[in-house]
Amino acid sequence: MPQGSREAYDRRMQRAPRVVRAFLSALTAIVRFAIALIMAQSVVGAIVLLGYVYRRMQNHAIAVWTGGRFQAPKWLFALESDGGFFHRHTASLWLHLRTGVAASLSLAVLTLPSAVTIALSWYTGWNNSFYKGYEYALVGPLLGVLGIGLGMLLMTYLPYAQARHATTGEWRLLFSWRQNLQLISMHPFANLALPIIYFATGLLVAGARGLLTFAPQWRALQGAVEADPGQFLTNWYFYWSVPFILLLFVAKRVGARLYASAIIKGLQNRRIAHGELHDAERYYIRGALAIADTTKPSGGFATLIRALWPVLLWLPLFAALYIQQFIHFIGAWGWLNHPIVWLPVLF
Amino acid sequence: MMLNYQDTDYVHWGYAAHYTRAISIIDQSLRDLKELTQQLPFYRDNTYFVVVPDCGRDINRLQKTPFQHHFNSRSAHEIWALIVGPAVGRGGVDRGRMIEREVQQINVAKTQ
Repeated sequence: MPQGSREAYDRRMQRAPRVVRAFLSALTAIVRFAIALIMAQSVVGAIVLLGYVYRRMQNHAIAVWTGGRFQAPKWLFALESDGGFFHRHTASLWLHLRTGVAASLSLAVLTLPSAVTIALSWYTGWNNSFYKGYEYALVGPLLGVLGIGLGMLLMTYLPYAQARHATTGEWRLLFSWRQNLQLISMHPFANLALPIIYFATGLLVAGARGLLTFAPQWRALQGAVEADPGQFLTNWYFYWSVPFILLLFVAKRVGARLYASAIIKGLQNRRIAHGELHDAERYYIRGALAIADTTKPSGGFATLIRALWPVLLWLPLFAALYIQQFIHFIGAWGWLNHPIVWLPVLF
Repeated sequence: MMLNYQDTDYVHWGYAAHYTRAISIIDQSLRDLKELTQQLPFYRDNTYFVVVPDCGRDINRLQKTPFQHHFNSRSAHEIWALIVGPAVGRGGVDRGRMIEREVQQINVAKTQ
């Protein structure tokens, strides 16, 4: 909405009784969440939702640096706009789409090597099982170990790198290995929260997919399944999306806030130099602390250990994926896209 | 003589086409086998074929690949049997007749 209208709206809101403000805030949050649910029902919608999630991560990081309150981004309207009617009412949606496309492409480059290796392990493993290729029996398991190992390393790295991309809008920072690992090493113990919250989210994904195998055997569901399986599936995924997206928001929030506080800690400890930061990071962090321009020498190996030591805690996330694919195989897509990692779509 | 065709189990890879394609391959193979027995005097007109799956398959309309058999569904416990041979159809049983009666596998052969 135009700047003048927004200020008038803010003034009216400030004058409104507290209960009215709380009601309107809750209503806004519910509507925004409902739009996220609808977006999660298709691949195109999931790209837009990914853009929305990135903007949420950006707002969380900025809230840490500025000490302000987190504000969920709008789905459609521009926060501030002097443009025409169309721009005012769709600017956010276009921003989510653009951000989502950039995010999905860069995430694909980062995640597909391990995802493809895991997919190959599945195919070569079954192939050996049927062809009895004893000489090649180790190919599938070894590919699986390699792919899962790569995946666990990736997941240790991804939450910070993704938050950095989301906050700065610079996709190249997703691949800024040294700096990102330096940031990750700032929170060697707080980082333990990430595999836990990601695993909880992954369990919801595995449950949503895997339980479909047993749903037709549940008496309470048999009638609905037999009457219209397509409609049943649509409803099933829609309702499972509710807790999945809630936890997804929490997981991304934790990642964004850890990343933001890691930058502050890194500057305070002189492990990160002000000049190394992206312009956007410098802009938001400017008033937060006395800024160091030089860094102390740090041991690369020690940084790696501090950053990567929780790597094994990511194993349950991959175990849940394997078990779910065994119970309800959803094709190569199930290996290539984990909804927490790439596109937030359940099917 | 027992032949064990495992082709349908390729469906565990996860693709329905692996199941349907395997069935067509097994069909063709059984036809070749039957024609071969008719060409060899030792087997001609005195050979019986009993075609039977070792397990049933899930019928789950919610899955892209419903032909698994690990999940305790009723259909995964049910199998059929196809019996083909010169004496089938004698003794009161019509040739080509389908019998829909529940029989346990253990009842098919004597277990003395």
